[in-house]
Formats: sequence, C-alpha cells, structure tokens
Amino acid sequence: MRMLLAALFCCLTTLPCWAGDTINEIKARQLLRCGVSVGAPGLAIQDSQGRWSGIEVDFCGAMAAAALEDTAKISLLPLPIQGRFTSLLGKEVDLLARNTSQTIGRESQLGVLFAGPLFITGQSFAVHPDQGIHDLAGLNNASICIFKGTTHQQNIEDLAAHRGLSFQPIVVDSSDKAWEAFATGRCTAVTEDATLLAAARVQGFKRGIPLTILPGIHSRELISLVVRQADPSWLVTVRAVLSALITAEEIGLTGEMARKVQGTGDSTEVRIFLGRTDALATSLGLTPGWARRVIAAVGNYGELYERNLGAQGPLQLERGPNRLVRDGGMLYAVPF
Amino acid sequence: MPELHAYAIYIIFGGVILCIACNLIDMTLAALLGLCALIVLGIIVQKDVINAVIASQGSLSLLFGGMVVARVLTPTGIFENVGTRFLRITGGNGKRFLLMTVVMVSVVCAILPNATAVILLAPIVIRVCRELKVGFVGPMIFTAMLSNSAGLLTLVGDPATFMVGQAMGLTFGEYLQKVSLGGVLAVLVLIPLMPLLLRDVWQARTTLPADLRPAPIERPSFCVFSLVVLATMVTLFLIGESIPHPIVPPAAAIIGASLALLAIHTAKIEPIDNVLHDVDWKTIIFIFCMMCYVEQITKTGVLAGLSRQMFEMFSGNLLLAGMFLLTSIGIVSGFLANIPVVAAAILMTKGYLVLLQMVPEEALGIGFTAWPSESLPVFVAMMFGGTLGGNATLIGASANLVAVGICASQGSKVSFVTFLRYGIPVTICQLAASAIYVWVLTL
Repeated sequence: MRMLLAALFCCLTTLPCWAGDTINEIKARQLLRCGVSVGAPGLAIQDSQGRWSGIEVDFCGAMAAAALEDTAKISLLPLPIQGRFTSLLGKEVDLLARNTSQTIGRESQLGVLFAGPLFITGQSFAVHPDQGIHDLAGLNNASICIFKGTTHQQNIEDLAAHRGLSFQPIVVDSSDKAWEAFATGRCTAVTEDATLLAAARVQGFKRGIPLTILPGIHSRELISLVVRQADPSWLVTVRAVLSALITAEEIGLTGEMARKVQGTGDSTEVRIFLGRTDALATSLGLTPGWARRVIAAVGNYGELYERNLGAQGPLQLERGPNRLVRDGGMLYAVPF
Repeated sequence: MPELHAYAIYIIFGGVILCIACNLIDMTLAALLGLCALIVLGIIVQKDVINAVIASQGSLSLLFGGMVVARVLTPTGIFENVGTRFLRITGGNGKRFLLMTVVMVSVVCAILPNATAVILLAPIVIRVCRELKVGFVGPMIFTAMLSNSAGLLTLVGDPATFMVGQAMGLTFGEYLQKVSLGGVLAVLVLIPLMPLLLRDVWQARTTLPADLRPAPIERPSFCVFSLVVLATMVTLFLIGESIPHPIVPPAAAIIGASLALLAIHTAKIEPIDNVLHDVDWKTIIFIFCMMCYVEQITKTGVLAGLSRQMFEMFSGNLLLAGMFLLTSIGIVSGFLANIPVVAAAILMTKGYLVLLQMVPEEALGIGFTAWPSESLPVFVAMMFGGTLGGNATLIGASANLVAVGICASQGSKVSFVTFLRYGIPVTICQLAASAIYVWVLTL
C-alpha cells in the first residue's frame, strides 16, 4: 500500500506545466467564459431567438476562435456593474469583456489587469428633446443622474470645476433606476459613456422615452478587456488577439479575405503578419493559424466596430478616437 | 454548452467521498485515484497542484513540523510524565478529565495551529484514557473538534480566522472585543454534549493508586533540548511574523522539525530514518489531495456566482444572508478543507456587499478596511460556518484527520460513519449557537 501511495503521489508532483492557468483551463473545458454587459445594444444583447450580438460578444467569439478554433465555444454571462469584478476574481469568467473603464486604481487595488481598449469612448450627457437644452452650458444648476460605482462621479465634479458650472448630482444604483428617474423628471439629464447613452437611445425609442445626446465628449474612457493579475500569460494572449484585429485593419486583411483558402491572394504584408503570429502560437498557448481564424470569424477591427457600434450597427456612432492612428485616431496594434 | 469539465470535477470528488463514506477503499488511495482521473481527463495540471499548496497556507509544513517534534519528544517519556500528572489532577474522574481537556485544548489552540496542537496533546489524552480504562477514540475526536472551535477564540487561532479578520481589517484587540465571545460559545456548546456523546468517559471513575507518580524523564538533557526546540517553534509561531525578517508559521514548523531532528541525531538516541518513518505520511498525502480538489472546485467559479444569487435572494437582509452563509459554508466546509473554502467565501461575501453598494468595488481588493459595522455579522457568520463546519466529518479539517490517524496508529481505526456520530450533533449545535450569536450582532 505504501509503495502504491508513494507512486501515485509522485505522479501528481511531476505533472507537466504548460503556458498559463487560464488558457489550459479553457482548453480542458472546451469553453471560454466571458463576462458581458446586461442587454446593451451594440455591446452585448440577446434577441428574442436567443442569438447574441455586440462588440463584446464578437470579441469573445474571436478569443474562442483563437483558443478553441470555434467561435461557438463561448459561455456569455451578463454581469451587473457591481458584480463584474467579483465574477472575474472568483474565476466565474475567464475574461471580462463587459463595458469597464481602464484605470490605474482598479489595477492596483483589485488585482486585475487591463489587456487594452476594445473601444474608446467618453462621458456624455443625454436630455429629453423637448427640454430645449443643446449644450453643456444649458445644464448649469440642473440635476444629473449618475450611476454609482462608475468613474463618472469624479469626472462630473472635475468638469463642473473646469467649466465654472454647477451640477446637482443624483447618484442612482442602476441603469434602470437612472432612466426611471429621468422619465419621471427627477433628473434633467443622465450622464454615461457615449456608447451606453447611444444604446439607451436605441432602447429608449422602444420604451417611448426619446433622448437627445448633447454634443461633446467630456472624458476619455478606455473601455478595456480585463483579466486576473494572477495569470499574466493570459493577459498576453488576450492582448495578442486584440492586436491581431487592429493589425488586420492596418494591413487591409478583411474577414472575407481571411475566409478564403489559405494563401490565396494574400499580400506580402498579410503573409508576414500571419507568419509572425503563427511563430508565436505555442508561446501564446494557441495553435498555428490562430490569427487567420480570428479575422475569418469576426473580421478586422474596423469591421467589428462598424458592425456593432458604427454605421452598420444599432448605435450609429462615428469612429472618432477608435480610428487607427494613421487615420487620426488613437488605436494602434502592439507589433508582433 | 454544458460545462462537462465542471461536472467531471463534481462527479469525481463525489465518488471519492462516497468511497470513503462507505469504507469501500482506503481513503488516501481513493483520493489519489480521484486525482489521477482528473489528470487523465486533462483537468488538473502542475500549476494547479502548486496553487493548491499555496492556497493551503503551509498546512502541510505545519503538520510535518508538529509530527516530527512530537515524535522526537516521545523517547524522553515526557508525554507519559505529563499524562500521569494530568491523570492525578483528574483524580480518576472522567467528567473532570473531559472538562480539563476543554480548558487545556482551548488554551493551547488559541495560540498554536489546530492540527499541531492535536499532535502534541494526543499522547496525553490517550494515556489518561488508558488509565481510566475507557476508549480514546471519542476523546480524541472531541480534542480535534475542540481545537477547531478554539481556533475562533483569537485572531491568530486558526488560518481561516486570520484570513477573515485580515479581510475585515480587525486588529487582535478588536477581534477579542467583537468576535471572540462567539468562539467561547462554540467551545462551551461542547460541554453539555459530552455526557451524551462520551457517556462512558463522562461516567468513568477509577481509583488511582496512592503511589501514582509521574514516570521519571529519560535522558533529561536531551529532553530539555527538545523542549527548547518546541519552545522556539511556539515562539516563532507567535512573534515570527513581526521580526525584521518575518518567519511565517509553516517556516517556523520546518525550523522546529529540523532542530528536533538535529537533536535526536546528535544525541544518538535513534536514527532519523525511524523518526521520518513514523511521520503520518498517509494523512499528509490525503490532506494534500483534498487541497487539490478544493483548488479544482473553486476554479469552476461556483462560489463566485453565489454572491449574485445571495443578492437576488436576500437583497439587503443581512441577517438572512448571514444565516445562509453560516449554513452553506458550514456544509461545504464539512467536506472541503476550510482554508481555501474560506478564501473563496471571503470574495463571495465582499462581492455580496459590493452588490448591495454598502462598499465600493475597491473593497474586493486587499487592504480595504472601511467596512461598515453592519457588515460584521455577515463576515462572522461566514467565518464560523467555515471553521465549525469542519467538525461535521472526518475529512472536514486537518485536525480531524490527524486525530483519526493517531487513533489508527494506536490500533483503533475510525470510520467515516463513526466520526459522523460525533460530528453531526456537535456541528448542528455549534452552528445553532453561532446563529444566535450572529443574530445578536445584528441587533
């Protein structure tokens, strides 16, 4: 018996050690678990047939295409704002794709790391069209609904001080409560990320609450992908997939091109890009061909944006800072 | 898509527990075979094993150190000596013996790790039981349960209490003021159960020989040196973390074990091989396996989701949430090692309070101390569930396993079911008393 126990014990302590924890777990369970927004058009929403759409959903699909070679192998968990980090830290999800602003404070205090912006937005204000308010100055002394636990509370104080305005902030617990307060006239305006206001505008039309989003973006919010600090190699993998999407746009590799038979009509730039990403496949915990699979599954970054947040999507937002650096935007890919 | 991977973990772990409960196979072998199944299925990798050991906060080192030091002291005859002195104080009265055991274990466990305390006290308890002509299995199980409960008396009494206290930002003094009374209650609850569960011991009366004297200490100088080693280890347990180069308790245990081995080797009492041979490796391997299972189960994220479910079920009713935590963590802790369970439950509790918006999301991180006083009962309930739930089964706490291992080495095997006969009533009563304490805290 002693010999048998000793032999079994030795087997356990000599197990192979591969890349990161998270990627191995994802492969073992053949499923990527993603935390996403709760019913936000353009970001993550389920239709009446149960089909998901949105930029967060697409990015999770891209990660599954890279890690599991199948975009369908994802489990999407809609998370409320106050539940997002608990789920990530408690290993309920592998990746938080849910609308979350990147801050140094969150990285230093919460034990999380941001893999890079999925998109860049900023704080904006929405009012009722009949109120005759056309700009920020029109909101002087107005009551403004702000969601608790967001970066907007600090931003609005800074904005008021900077512009010499005065706001009466009304802090509310959730999105629903904010719009309820807005509908009943308890607050004159609601402040949120421009993307979320655009999503609310889409939903507001359906609920009979028309919205006007005031011009101007009053903060810079890097809406980033979040992972646990405990597994930096998973951070690199997520960052690699995000960079592949942006690089693909930079070199003109579209989803349609990537779906064609491998090598057919690939430009030199595309061949170099795919060659470099393949060379890194093992160290990223992925299999060769991962970058092509990602682009074939969801398109390049530009396609991803336009389909969900841009002209072809429900929100109709301009790309603004989400353009590539060469086009005057802020997006650039980390070189491979 | 169903998470077959998670189901595989639950099924395999359930199967292992079933094999142990039904006594179908040796428990350590069952645990190892279950882990092998997880390896074959590609669910567990080396990193998981390392993570499991890290999450255990050095429990294995504490056990190894305690076992080696106790074994090195054995040839000195000190346990017989102390046991006889203890027996004389009991006057051959079983009732007095049990009540004095409560005091002795409570004092020792308030400062020493539970399992280490059981290892050191077991020879004394067994010696007295033999003189009283009663079985030692019941008293040994009670000693383990007492040690688990007494860990609640101080902030440093148990790694789980330390973790929760640290998460709440409590100092040693604040813990004594706000939480220790609950620990006293958990210990006191055991006393009325003794006449019921340990009837033969409680009623035992033996006339001790008038000339009963403690056996002389053999090899006095070696004994003194070994006791100095033990004292060094205990001192390092208490102050090791506050010296300029901190020494954590597991490291103190290894230092103690090494010095003890050096003592027995230098004094040429017996070969070191004999000492290492007598270490209860089977129990150590079993505890290691259990840590790996807990690591796998927490990795499924099942506990993290509970914070949202608690929020949906109880909303802002902190008393109900506390009762839920006390019960659910108590049940889980009955089957899984309490340290990793409590570590996962701390995040879950914090997550619930963040959802309630009692605290900002920064509270999920380390170092947040601005907890409102209303949150105390929720944390206390979770901590008491995690610590006292371990009394329910043989595998619920390392002290239980050590006690059972010592019983087996003395010729009395303890089955899973035998342990349950003591564990279930004790745990129910202790959790009920804790529930009252939590309720009082909410007033």
